[in-house]
Amino acid sequence: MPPVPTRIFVLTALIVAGWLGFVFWTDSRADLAESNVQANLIRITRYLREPAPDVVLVGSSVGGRLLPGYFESHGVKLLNLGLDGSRPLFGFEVLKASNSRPRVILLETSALFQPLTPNDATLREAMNSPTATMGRVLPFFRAEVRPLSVLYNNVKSLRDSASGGRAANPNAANSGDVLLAADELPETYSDIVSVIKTFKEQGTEVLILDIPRGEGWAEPSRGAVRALALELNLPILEPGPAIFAEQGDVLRFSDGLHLNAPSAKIVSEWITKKIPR
Amino acid sequence: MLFNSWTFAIFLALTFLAYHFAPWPGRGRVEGQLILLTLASYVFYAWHTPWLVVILAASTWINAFVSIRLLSRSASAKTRWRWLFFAVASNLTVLAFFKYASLFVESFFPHAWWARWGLDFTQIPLPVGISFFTFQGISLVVDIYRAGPSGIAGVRPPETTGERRGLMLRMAFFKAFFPQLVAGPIVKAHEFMFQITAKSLRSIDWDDAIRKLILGYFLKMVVADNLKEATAQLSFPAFVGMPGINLLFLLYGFSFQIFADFAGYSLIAMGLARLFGYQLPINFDFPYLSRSITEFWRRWHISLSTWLKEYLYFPLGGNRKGPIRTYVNLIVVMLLGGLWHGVAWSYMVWGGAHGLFLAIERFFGVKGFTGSAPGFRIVSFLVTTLKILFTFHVISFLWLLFQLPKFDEAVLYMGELFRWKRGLIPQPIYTVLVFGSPVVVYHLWAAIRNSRVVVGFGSPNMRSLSRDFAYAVLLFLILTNSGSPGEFIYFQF
Repeated sequence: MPPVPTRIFVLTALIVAGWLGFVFWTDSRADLAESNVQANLIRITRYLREPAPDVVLVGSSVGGRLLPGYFESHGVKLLNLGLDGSRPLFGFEVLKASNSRPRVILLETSALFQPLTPNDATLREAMNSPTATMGRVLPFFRAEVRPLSVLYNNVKSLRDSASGGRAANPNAANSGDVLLAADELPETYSDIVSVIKTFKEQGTEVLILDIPRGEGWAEPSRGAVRALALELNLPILEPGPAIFAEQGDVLRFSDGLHLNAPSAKIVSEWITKKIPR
Repeated sequence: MLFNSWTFAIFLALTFLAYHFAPWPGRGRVEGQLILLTLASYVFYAWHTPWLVVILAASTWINAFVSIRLLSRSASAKTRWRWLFFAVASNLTVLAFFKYASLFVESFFPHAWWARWGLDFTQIPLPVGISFFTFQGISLVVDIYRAGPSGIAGVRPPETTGERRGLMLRMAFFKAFFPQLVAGPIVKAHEFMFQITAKSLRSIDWDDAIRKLILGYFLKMVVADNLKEATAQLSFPAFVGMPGINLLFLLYGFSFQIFADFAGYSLIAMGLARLFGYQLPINFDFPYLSRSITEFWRRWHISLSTWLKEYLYFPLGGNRKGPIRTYVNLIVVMLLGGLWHGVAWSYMVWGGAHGLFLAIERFFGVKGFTGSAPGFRIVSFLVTTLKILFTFHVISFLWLLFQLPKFDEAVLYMGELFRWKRGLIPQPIYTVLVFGSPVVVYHLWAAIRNSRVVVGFGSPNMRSLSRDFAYAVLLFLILTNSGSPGEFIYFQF
């Protein structure tokens, strides 16, 4: 039989070993990734690996910028299901896929009532793929150790730290503060109510989190958020106006919408003080 | 069944083991292996939509039946021509019905009562791979017709019922062989039939097979599947209001993606065929190094362009009937080549535009360079580089019609691009730069290799080790850095 090119496989094994050694020695894991699917996979697989999560953030990419590391330094173990290009309804689907229940859910308001999209279907497929399944046991297959995601994570962190970003428009946070009538509520409202009730019945505390967004963003469902809070007796955390009142105009947005890294740290610190212990 | 799925990995392992290790009887080995591979190919094809095998089987039967008639020594020239006409017409009718009936009805008779009577003509499903196996079927009957009753190598006139059955089996295998069944390379009968013999592990060129599989899977799973996340924004209305630099990078990204996706598929198909002892023709020869559209079509989807040349351009008269007829032939062939790709007028415009460029280049005497790369003279180098960049941009802009088949959306995209809104969204640009760079490096490597700059660099052992190391890095990236699995772009054609 002609020779099989075994040297390629031996060299591959050496590179794999070298990479894993580097990742675990330097603790280089990606929190952010170059694509929405990969960034979301990092968050979802972390959640599914965690036996008993304490605090979970469910939301969109706006909430996704509040990295677990910012909370950990204040003694709060948070898992972030703020999914890029995805919907909180899908975040709840992931929560339900795990047997354990978190003590606290921070429910971010951005895109809260928007229906599921094709992105969510792609993510569901990726989440159940053999690679993601193997990643629960074998670190090598985890999205957080993908070499090019680790590279992106470092480049992005550097860029976010270096750039000032744009200032927020504090008036945007106060717009649309009107309660909606029952027939004006979005179609997904009843689904959201139902899923929150289920978690509350199982002993999970749910807090609504209105994360500040940059200029050009007007939260269209603010009235519905108020209605939800009233109906289920949920507290609303509003770090934007509070930080503005306490520290002045310190928050910056890297792309006009998402908090940059230093601002996300400030917001995270504010939130840790409000989470029930 | 997708090449990049776990189902396929199991299917391949089982088929490979049975093919090489089953206790085939000595003289019946080739028939046993052919039956196994043909059945496996039908399972592969039927995996998601079982009824599709009916079309494949019917198409195979027509071509095999006519081929045997063409091999009959008693058939007159007129009879043989009639059988050929019947076979080609049948193939094209089946293709036209499944591929173009809905476009035809929607374009010209959208409200006709018969359009939705019994069968909804506007909703005819497209059987995957039909464009590919139909062209292979035409190649089979045309090659046999051209060769005369003595047939081609591997297809000789059957003398007995047993030989006749054996020949039918060979032709069924030729049409169905799973590595190239759904997206090519389009194999011509005279390139393949003579290869059908009993195979053993000795028939496998492991080195070539493994390298092709690694490179193919790398291009598909790492490059194309990751680029797909960024180029998803090249859709309406996602691109509206995007900064100009992002719109330009999306075009580059799609050019890299479509190459990596299709060249990746072709390499995987060639590697898989190698595992069963067969050799498929190359389909890509570093197309983005082309210095003209003429050269591009000698390097891109080679199996289609040579098929069009052998079975359409030459029969139309090629360049033997004067310059005007040559230009017309070029445009007609490319129009049909465009229409072969898909059920939308934009594909025809895409093909027509390529045909027009071919005719213009021919008029101005631009040759399709296939020889050695330029020398070191700086002017020659710069001119060549500019030609490559110009050709790449023309091709990239024309790819827009693939991704945005609606004209108004493609026009809107161009408008947005030329308006050039300032700003930058970094994430998709990072994706295009990082995952597009292997395509650039792959082409640069070919350009440097052809220029012979690195001849004699290092010892042979060092060069061999470097090459193996490069493949090991590709394999490492397949394992760690694949994108979310997606279908191959050319499956839709």
